[in-house]
Amino acid sequence: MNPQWRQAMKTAISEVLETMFFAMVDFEGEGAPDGGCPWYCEASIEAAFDAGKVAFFFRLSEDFARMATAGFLGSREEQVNAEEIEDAMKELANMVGGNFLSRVEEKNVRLGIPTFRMAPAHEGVTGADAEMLNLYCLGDRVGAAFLERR
Amino acid sequence: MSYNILIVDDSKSMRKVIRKTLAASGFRVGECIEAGNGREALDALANNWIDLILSDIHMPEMDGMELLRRLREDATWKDLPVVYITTESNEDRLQELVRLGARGYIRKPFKPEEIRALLSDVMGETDESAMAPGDEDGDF
Repeated sequence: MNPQWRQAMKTAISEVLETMFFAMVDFEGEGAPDGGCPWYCEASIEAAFDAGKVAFFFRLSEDFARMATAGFLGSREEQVNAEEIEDAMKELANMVGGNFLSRVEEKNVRLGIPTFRMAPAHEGVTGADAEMLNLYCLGDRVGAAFLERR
Repeated sequence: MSYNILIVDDSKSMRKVIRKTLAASGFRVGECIEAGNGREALDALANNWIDLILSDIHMPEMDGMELLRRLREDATWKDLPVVYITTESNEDRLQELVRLGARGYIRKPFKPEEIRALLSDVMGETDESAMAPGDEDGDF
């Protein structure tokens, strides 16, 4: 994948998480660098532009999804419910997608509607042209972000 | 003077975040009314005094662009300030909104000070007339 895209993806994820969710992540750390963990949830969004389509996926642990949702809403983690996590994680995908697209030189971009599901299986983002970033928070692996060219 | 604001977004969580960000920004907010799409926004306008609309663009049923068109065609609402808070990255689409009469836009992610600066400008306020951040329900 284009190195400029990889950097744009990292910048978009960091900026959105820090500004709106009061959460910080690193992209390098301990833990298995693969997408095979049984993650708690997945939020995704598709974007189209003149040269093709891409899809963003976020697969996250429950602890991180709950912490980010609490930061987003200004609530306490134990007060966050499943509906709020879904809503917040859709917004995460939406904002990262929009932020990423504003950083790459593509024409006529159109962002889709974010989707959410619990306990995602591993299909869908294993193509040769999929980029994966592991997400670490305070040294723990808390999820993975994927960018798949379609 | 404080302003009654209509927040239009299909995400309940985002409406809550915008409401809290407004409170933390120091912008003088009176009542905050919420709507989940453009059609609900038109209903809310019929029943409430609104000084300013903060709207998303991409929403089901009636999106933010159609809402703006309807407002500009209505003698009662044609001058009501509308500001967009959006993930839209298509510059042509954003310029189309400005051409239709939007007073400005803020891209998500946003900071309280960005909202305050733009809304103060749109409402013709000087910086001194705004409240200090956190004066009003600012526990965000």
